[in-house]
Amino acid sequence: MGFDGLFGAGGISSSGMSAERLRMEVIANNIANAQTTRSPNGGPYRRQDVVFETVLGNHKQGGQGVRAAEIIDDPSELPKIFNPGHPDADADGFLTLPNVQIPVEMVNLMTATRAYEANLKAALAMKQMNEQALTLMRS
Amino acid sequence: MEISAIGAGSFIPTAEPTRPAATGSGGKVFGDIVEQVLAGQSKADASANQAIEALATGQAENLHAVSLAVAQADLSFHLVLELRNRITEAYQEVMRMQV
Repeated sequence: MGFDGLFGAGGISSSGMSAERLRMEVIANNIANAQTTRSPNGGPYRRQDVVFETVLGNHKQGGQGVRAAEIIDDPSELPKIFNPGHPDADADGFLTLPNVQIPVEMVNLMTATRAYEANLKAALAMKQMNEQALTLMRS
Repeated sequence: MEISAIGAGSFIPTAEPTRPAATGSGGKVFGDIVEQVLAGQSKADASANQAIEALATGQAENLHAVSLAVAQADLSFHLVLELRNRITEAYQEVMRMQV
């Protein structure tokens, strides 16, 4: 017998925090590569996004948290600027840049931070509830 | 007015005192419960130790997983402690009973 059943909500919050951490890593990678004009696939870096999916438990438990399903590339158009001096510019002198927009990434970063915090609060509330239940045993 | 003396017949027990049904396995079942609780506690403790070891050796991927494991071990230890306190209290209560 373990106490796993008591900490079910803690595990769910932990999966949420792990997922948000991964999102944070992807956003940090986007920001770091905001000016990268060379990538392994050829061409400039493409902005990445993470897709989450729910983890199902049995029919009594309902959802058992979240996990990252995949990391996808953003297919949106890559902006071009006129910069003939750049070594990666095309024949017409246009340089293709990554489709990373720093303001958008900053907002996503804030959302990820807040979502992490929300999961932390949920885990903390769960812990406090268990502790409060334990005080019943004190006479 | 005649007052009858208190005799043996004036105090008739209405019912036989009931004895608790003999359950030879009572102590064993209780011991099993304690053992299970302790096993759960040591499991939580072991997972916390594992998480801390992973953190110390640089293999931990998530800090929150470590702190959550520690919090769970702390909580289950408190649960066992409270149980132990209650059991000791009950035992002392029985020992103080006058015979």
